[in-house]
Amino acid sequence: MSSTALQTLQALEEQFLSDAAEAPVQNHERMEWIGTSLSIAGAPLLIGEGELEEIIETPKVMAIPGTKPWVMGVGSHMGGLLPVFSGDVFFRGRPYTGRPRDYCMVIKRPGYHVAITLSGLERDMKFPAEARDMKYQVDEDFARFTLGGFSDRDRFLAILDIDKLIVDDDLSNAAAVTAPDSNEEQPND
Amino acid sequence: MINQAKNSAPMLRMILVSLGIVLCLGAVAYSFFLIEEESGQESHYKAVAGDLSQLARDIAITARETEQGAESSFADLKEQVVSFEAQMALLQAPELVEQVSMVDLSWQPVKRSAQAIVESAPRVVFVQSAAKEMNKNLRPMQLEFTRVVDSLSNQSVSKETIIAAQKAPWLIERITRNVDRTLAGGADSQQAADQFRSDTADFIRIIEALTRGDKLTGIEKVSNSNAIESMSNAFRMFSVASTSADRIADASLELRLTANARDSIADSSAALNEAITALIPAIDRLAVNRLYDQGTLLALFVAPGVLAVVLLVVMFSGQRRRDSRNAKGVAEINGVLEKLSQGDMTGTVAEDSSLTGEIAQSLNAATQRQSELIRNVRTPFELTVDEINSIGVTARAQVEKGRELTQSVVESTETATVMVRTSEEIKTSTAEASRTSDRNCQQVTRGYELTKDMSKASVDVRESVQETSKSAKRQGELIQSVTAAAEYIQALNTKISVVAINTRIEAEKAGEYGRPFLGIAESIADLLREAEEEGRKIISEVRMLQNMSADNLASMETTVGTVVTILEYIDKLDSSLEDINAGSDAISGIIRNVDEAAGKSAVSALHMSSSMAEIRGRNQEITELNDSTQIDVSNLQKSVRDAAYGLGQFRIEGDGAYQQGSAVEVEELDSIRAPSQVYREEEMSALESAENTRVSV
Repeated sequence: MSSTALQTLQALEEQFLSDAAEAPVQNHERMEWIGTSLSIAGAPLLIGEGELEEIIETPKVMAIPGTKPWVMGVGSHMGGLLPVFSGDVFFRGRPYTGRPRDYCMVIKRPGYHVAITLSGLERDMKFPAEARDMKYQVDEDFARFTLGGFSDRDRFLAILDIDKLIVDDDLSNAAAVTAPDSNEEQPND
Repeated sequence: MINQAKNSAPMLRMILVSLGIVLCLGAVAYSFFLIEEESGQESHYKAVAGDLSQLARDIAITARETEQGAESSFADLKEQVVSFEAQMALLQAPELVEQVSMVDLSWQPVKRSAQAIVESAPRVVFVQSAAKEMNKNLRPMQLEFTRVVDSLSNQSVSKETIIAAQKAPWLIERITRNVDRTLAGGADSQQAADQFRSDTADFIRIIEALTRGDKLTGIEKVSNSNAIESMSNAFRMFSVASTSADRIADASLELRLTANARDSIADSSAALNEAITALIPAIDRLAVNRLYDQGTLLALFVAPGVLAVVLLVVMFSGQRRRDSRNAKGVAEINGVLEKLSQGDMTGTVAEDSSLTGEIAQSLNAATQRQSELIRNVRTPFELTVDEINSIGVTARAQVEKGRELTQSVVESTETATVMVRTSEEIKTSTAEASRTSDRNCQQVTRGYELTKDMSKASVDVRESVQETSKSAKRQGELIQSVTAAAEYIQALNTKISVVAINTRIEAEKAGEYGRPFLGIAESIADLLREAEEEGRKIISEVRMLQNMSADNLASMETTVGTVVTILEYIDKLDSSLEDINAGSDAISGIIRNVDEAAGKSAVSALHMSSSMAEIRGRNQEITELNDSTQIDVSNLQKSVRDAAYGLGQFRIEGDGAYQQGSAVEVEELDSIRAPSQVYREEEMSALESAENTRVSV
């Protein structure tokens, strides 16, 4: 009797198995991080999608007196004036006399529209989002403007955060000296 | 009389010493006998201890066996207790009192428990037999009541009746179990006995109720004949319990005490066995202690032994002293006689020994007389020896002179021979040098030709390398052009990359409408990646090619410089060959001069050889004179040597050195022979060969 009951239960189990629908396979879509690979002052960097306004050839500039050393001057771009900053001087903090920088990246934010010179330019790249490394020790001149990065073969590409860059005091105030007060400058006749 | 006294004293001493040794050996034998007796008592006690140990183990085992209720076990236990007591009584040695008291202390609880078990034997045997009977009848009684229940089930009887019939077999089983528990005598044995008593009463009441009926409990009388018969059979089998229920229940206390007694024996057995085991080493020490305490026995055993050894040593040393004294006297006489046989008269013998004194005295007198006779013969002989010595000195001087002259002639002859040979070798060498010089001249001429060929070939090589160098420079310019083109392509790639990036940015700005451009930008980026990799590789390889071309160019320039250097070396080699040619001519002149000098040296050697022939004639005459003198001196020496040998056989006191000196001088004169004659033969052959050489020169 007991063996018949067991056999019945086994047959029922087999029938359920044959009739059962397969469990749906969960499709884990791969999240990808997209950005542009370039280098500033010799440091390989990434800039995220949508943060760049444009890449242009470095325009001829006119120097502006009384500005910080990294301000190369003002250039003409698409019928307007565009301030051009030297990436080498701004990030490294010392004068640069090497090969001329052929390209600039244009950043446009509310109240900001500047170009920063590039030392190299590669292409757009994609990385799996989970591969982002937030603990890697990047170049100390760039560390305060970066937010993690990705490993690409034998190098590490740090992500330059434009939002961190534009809130920097030095970048936002390019004047070398504060404009003197007009009352003090004008002699009292 | 004195000798007799001397002989009897050692004899008496020896007898006394022997008697003392025999007495000592007897004392030692008696001591061994006493020790043997003590050891016999020790082995007896050991056997008793072994029996006690065995009995203790038997008592523990038998006490455990009494659980089975066999009467023989109780009898054995009783007998073992008695035996143990008897064996204990045998251990009466005062040295073992402490160990025996420890055994008795451990034995008393065992003894009391064993006696308790023996006293409870009738009750245990009875209850055990009852329990066996009940166990045997349990299953049949339950079957009988099962039949009763079945029979009642088929009839219309009250429920209480069937319940009572069903309860009966259960009660029987519990009664049987309680009998077993009572017999085991455990902690709950009293409770089991009480339950046994009440169950037995209940069972009897149920049987009476089923047989007669009981209105109070509602049990009806069984009327079925089969059921009645079954009940009758069951009750008959239960009669063992029913007739002796009180007796079994009352035995509970005694059975419990018996069980406790068994446990007590089991617990005390270990201590008892340990106490008995401690007896063995005490018994082992028994005999040793007794012997150790009896100082007299030890004195009897050790003192005679020591005394016997001392006496033996005294006897042995006296005998050895006498033997050595006699052996020494005999050895001295033998030594003097041996010297006399060799002619030595200096030896004397000590005359103090009693055994050899007289022989030594006679021997010393004979030796003195012989010495006086020899001394009288020796005096004239010494004068003769002095004269012969002076002649020998003169002869030796002559011989020395002849030897020196001979040596000089030989050396001169050898020198002349060497000169002739040297001249011949010089002539041979000069001829060989002349031929070598000619060959050198030919080699120099050939080398001169070769340097001309090398110079021409080097010029060709230089021109060829210069042509190749021009080609390499042109190749370097082409590579430079390719590098510039590759770098231009790389710059174009960068521009395309800028276009692709800007395209993607603009496509993102355009939102949904810019999606196709996004795909295009990605495709361009992918193509660009491949183009960049290839372009980078091309630039790297072209740069490598450029470096290699530069290396080749530098290498070729180095080759041209090396060829120029080789040409300079060839010029120097040419001038060196001319110098070598001039040197060879000079060497040929020198060789000719050396050849002429060698011819003159050969003529001088011929003159020296003729002078050596004259010296040889004179030397031959001197040698003949020396020979005759030497023969005479040799004869005389032979006579003196014979006489010296004869006198040398005798050796007397104070003249050992004289004998030795004469013998040495005689030997030295014997060694003077005619060596110059031997040299002359060799010299002659050398001179003859020298003459042949001279002819050839």
